[in-house]
Amino acid sequence: MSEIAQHRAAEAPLLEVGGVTKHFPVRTGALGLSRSVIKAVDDVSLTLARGETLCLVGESGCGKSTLGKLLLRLIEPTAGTIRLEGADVTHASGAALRAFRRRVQIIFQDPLASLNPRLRASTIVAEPLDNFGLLPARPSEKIAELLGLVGLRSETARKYPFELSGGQRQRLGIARALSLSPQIIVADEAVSALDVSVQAQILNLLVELRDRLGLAYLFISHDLGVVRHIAHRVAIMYLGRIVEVGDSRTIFSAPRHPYTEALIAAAPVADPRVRRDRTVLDGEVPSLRNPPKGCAFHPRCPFAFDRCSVETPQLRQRGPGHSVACHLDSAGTLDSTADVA
Amino acid sequence: MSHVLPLARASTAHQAWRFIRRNPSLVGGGVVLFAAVLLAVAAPCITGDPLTMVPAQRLRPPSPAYLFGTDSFGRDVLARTVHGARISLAVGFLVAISAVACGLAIGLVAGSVRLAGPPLMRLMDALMAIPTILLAVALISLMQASVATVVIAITIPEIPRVVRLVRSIVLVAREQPYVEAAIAGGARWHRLVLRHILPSTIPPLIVQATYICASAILLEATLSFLGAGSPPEIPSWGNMIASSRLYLERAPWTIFYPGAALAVIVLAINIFGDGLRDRLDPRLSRRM
Amino acid sequence: MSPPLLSVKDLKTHFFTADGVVRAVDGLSFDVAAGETLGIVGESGSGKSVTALSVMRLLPQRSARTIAGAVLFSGMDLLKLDERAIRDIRGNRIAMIFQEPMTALNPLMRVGEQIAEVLRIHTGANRRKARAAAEAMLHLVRIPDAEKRYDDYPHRFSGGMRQRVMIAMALACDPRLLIADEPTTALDVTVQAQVLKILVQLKARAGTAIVLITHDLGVVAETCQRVIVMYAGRKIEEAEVATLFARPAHPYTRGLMAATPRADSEAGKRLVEIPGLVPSLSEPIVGCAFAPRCPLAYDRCRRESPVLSQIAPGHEVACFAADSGP
Repeated sequence: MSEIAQHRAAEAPLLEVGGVTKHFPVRTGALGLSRSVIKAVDDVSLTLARGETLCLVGESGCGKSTLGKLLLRLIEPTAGTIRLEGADVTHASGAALRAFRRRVQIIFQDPLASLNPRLRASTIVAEPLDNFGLLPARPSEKIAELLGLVGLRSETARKYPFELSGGQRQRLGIARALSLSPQIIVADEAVSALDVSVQAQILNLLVELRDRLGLAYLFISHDLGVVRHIAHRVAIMYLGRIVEVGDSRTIFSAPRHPYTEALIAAAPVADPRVRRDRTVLDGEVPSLRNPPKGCAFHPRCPFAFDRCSVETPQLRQRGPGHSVACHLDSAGTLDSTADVA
Repeated sequence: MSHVLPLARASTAHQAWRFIRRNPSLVGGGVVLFAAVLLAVAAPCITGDPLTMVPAQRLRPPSPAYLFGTDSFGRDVLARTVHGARISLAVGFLVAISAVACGLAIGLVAGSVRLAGPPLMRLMDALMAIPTILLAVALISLMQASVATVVIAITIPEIPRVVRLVRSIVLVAREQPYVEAAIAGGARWHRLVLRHILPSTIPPLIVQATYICASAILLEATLSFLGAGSPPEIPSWGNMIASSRLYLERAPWTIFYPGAALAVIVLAINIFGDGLRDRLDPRLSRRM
Repeated sequence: MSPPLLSVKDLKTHFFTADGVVRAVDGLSFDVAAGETLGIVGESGSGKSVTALSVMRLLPQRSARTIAGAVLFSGMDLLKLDERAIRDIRGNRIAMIFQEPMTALNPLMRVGEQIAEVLRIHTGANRRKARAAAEAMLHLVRIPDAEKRYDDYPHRFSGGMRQRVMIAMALACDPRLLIADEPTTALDVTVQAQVLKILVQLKARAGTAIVLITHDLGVVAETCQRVIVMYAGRKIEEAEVATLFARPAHPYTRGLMAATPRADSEAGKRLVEIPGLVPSLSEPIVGCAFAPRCPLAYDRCRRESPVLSQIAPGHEVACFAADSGP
């Protein structure tokens, strides 16, 4: 493990998530009379260290966006705990919740939809500070400073979102997120809606800001190329659970979970010379309303055996900082004894 | 970009003509409406007395002295028609503003406060289930007859539709990412509602207000015609038509002019409202 | 050399908006040979989707018009055909699939019926034959339980399955050319792999030519034989796929490749940015459209518009800097 990673591991984590679960009630049955739940997020535990970038990777229905919203306390978990620097914020409200808001901010996927179309850029950027009474009497300097941080000229302050390009809008969203000087930024598919050339600009900006301001990122994405570029650690999610988590390098060079392998194999590489094993994963992500018994991935897994359809695998440590939720152990055989992560 | 050629600036007259060509409904309806308002405001100065009865001149056809003729009491139909516009337009505007203001307040609460939503909406459903005219007549019978009473009686049945509109907009606006962003940024509920949710309701409400205005004018005329509206001495168009009912064959001008004025005003307001909607909606979708 | 299946010559499509004329496609020419897979790569505003709509004559009638050029298909100029004739060709000899399968499928009509309808219209098959053929197509695109799923409505299918239904609809009449506009952009990555695999298999089976429009260089690298790169409504580079990735000549192509983060590369390397923005298409562009953002631009680039020239067999590029050597 790299020095930086070791150093980070030694410090107490900034954000600790323990067994977080989110159920959404749903009506089923012919007349819609029976009630059941869908487990959008199911027993998720992870940590985020100061200055670290953790990427949540997964496809539709895996729960990564819901987890992001839970960690922002935009919604409340059904079970589990969320701690920020040791303080329990799981059910915080009022002043405690507002204090939490100052330290965890968000950037959205759709740059246009995340900006109020009727407000000028200056108002948008200044609003969080205004909410906490931290806006100086002459705000234009502070606003120009925030805009400059993300590479926008001060003239942009007067403009409305529809007058800006996609990249500029996203920069504005980043400036707004930075205004309260947070410690953690949740980036929910923050570059997915951008053109490649603009995406590169924004990714570079995010990396630069992280290095300069010591920000921790919880970066939600489905694009493995982006993840490889920005992540220190990666957590793969499938149907509401984390199936593998570890160092970025380890995950990409030696993935252990069959789903992780399938994801990496499926991502197209911009180089026709690269010959890869193109075994395409069969089937679809199952519906959350009817999750498979046991391991949610077993119907599509090329290595599934009988235990997989009965018992849900827990995350177990396979190497330093590397955990996998799979009944196959490192030798690819039946898992009988292992440490719980 | 230095190598891009600059666009030529159009002259103001050219721009104005382009605006008229592109927004015919807005301009057409707006001009007629504006003219009507001007006439209504200037009524005492430009026409004769609508109340003076000259029995010797009853039911005279239109002539240079009486441009629109006289009614069964010898009153000047032209003066009464123009003064009638004051009543109609005043009722129309007052009802539109009151209905929108009340509907906005109730709708905002119904859309934002989770527990208040269902009971408020059921109340609105109940109100809507009663036929508008009956409700208005019932309300008027509870109060003393006057123009103010008529305004209140017409406003109340118009509120539920506004509430429905506002609530549906609020429900959609609440889900927008920028509202989530505001919450994440620590915005309190009053800022959320006033800055982030309320503005989305304004353009559709403005359009709705014009339709309510037209509908209120018609409703006032109907109520007056039925005898349940403005007091009979007041020269409202509905009253005029009511009192001249028996003279349709003998003196059609007594019904024709107020009727035509009513039709023209209502049509103009509706067309203006259509033009406004066309302008505000695609503008919004183009901006976004 | 047999004549190309599709030959687009100097296509110009303009959009007439309240803010002015937008030159979405500004003089585009390319050929598609029978059975080949041609990729059209570009970002938003490059004109790639408008090109597809122009070929299929599916432009929004009130605001857009193809004002110049020819689209030759089997000896006919598609732009000159009347409505009836072009309807005969659409869905029959040239088919198109779109990015959002939910909006391209009729939500009120059973899925199998939509495929059968295409067959009935173009081949005159009776109901039974059409149904059998439609079921066969559903099988072909690997929809499990095809007979039962025939009667399902689109909302009961996931995104990937709907896209497969669209492919089934498109290929039902065995078209010679399939135009696929960002067919997998809205899909999850594993589903994307499945759909692309089906496309490639079906193409191999029937010899259909495919024009694949995308912004994803990875998809192009894996599925296309030849590639066109578009920028601001023009073609700026064309080459075989191996050549394009090995020796990209146009600075924009090189910029795109350098800006794309890859899962198999080293982390933390700073991505090469392309500074600036795509130029506005509503103002006439003087000189090379890419010049304001180009690291190699010099004064000739700002005065003259570069034309396409061959720098190697099968490799064309529109760039003064590339012309004079790497």
